[in-house]
Amino acid sequence: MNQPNRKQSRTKARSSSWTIAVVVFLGIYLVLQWQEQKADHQVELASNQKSGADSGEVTGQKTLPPLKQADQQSPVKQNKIPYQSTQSNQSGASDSPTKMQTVTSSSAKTKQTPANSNRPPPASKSTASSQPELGQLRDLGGKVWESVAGLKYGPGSQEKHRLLHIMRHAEDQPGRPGKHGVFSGNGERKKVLALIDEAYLQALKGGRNVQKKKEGNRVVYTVNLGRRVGFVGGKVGNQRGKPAAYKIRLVLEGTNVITAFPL
Amino acid sequence: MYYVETCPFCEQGNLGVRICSLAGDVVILCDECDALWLSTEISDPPAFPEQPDLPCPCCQGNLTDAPAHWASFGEIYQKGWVSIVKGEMPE
Repeated sequence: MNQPNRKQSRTKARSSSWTIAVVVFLGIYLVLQWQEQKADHQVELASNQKSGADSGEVTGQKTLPPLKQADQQSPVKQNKIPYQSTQSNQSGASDSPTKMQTVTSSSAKTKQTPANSNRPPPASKSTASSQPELGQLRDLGGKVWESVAGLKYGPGSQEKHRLLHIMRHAEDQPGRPGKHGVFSGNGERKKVLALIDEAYLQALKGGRNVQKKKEGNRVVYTVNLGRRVGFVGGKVGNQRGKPAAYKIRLVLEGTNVITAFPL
Repeated sequence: MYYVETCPFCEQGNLGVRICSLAGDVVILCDECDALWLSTEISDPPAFPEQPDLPCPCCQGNLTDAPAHWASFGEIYQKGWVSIVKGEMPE
């Protein structure tokens, strides 16, 4: 009687262990199936995450995958990869994979990455700042300043410096005998010097609007700029109602300015 | 400054009588372009003294640094150039 009971209990134990094994097997199988399906959708993401982690080791950041993908899509831009990657990292983008996936899934967003927006300003802007405007001066030392057009202003005259002398023509001197040319520009030195630079460049070009007189080491240019560049002041100018001046006279020794004024 | 006339070279400056810094030499100098005449013959071509010191053409002095100065009426009278003076400029 005992033997059949033992057999029965052994069989019961085996069948239950088989049941457990089957359930476990089925569970594993289902999990694997689910993971396979999920993996199909995430193969690309998974590879990107890996490459992102690789790049992150170099830069110390974790937000590179979208840029990598963008670069793979456009090989022409591959030369800019390091710069873009660094820039995007510096922008402090999120570390979360979810956010990365959002960026990756949209190619349009990928193109507008922080790396792109953080590029240096447009070339025109930097070019404008690198090209000085007329009227600007640079110090040559020895109290000599050179304008953009190449005119030099140094010590000399009763005012001790040619710039001070020139600036006498930034405002009227109604009591001064004869004529006293006054530059437009409301007394701003840069505007006055810009007019002189413009006249000098025109003088170097020559033409009908330029008259040249040479005596010894002096050259006198009278340049008609074809527009109002100031007015005639002084006693004579004030008596005539301060007529407009369209010409600038430059008195030079080489490129050294002796004087310049409108007339 | 007593002025003689408008500078024929730059056609803007006023010619004044200038006394040099060393020997008291008297010249005519443009206050605009530094054109220089040694006599009252303004129709003659001017000289252009070296910049920026404007050395006196007659001595080792110069026309820029004190005691170089614009001549007073008395100094112009002593030189015998009063007849060419046309007026005095405001300071």
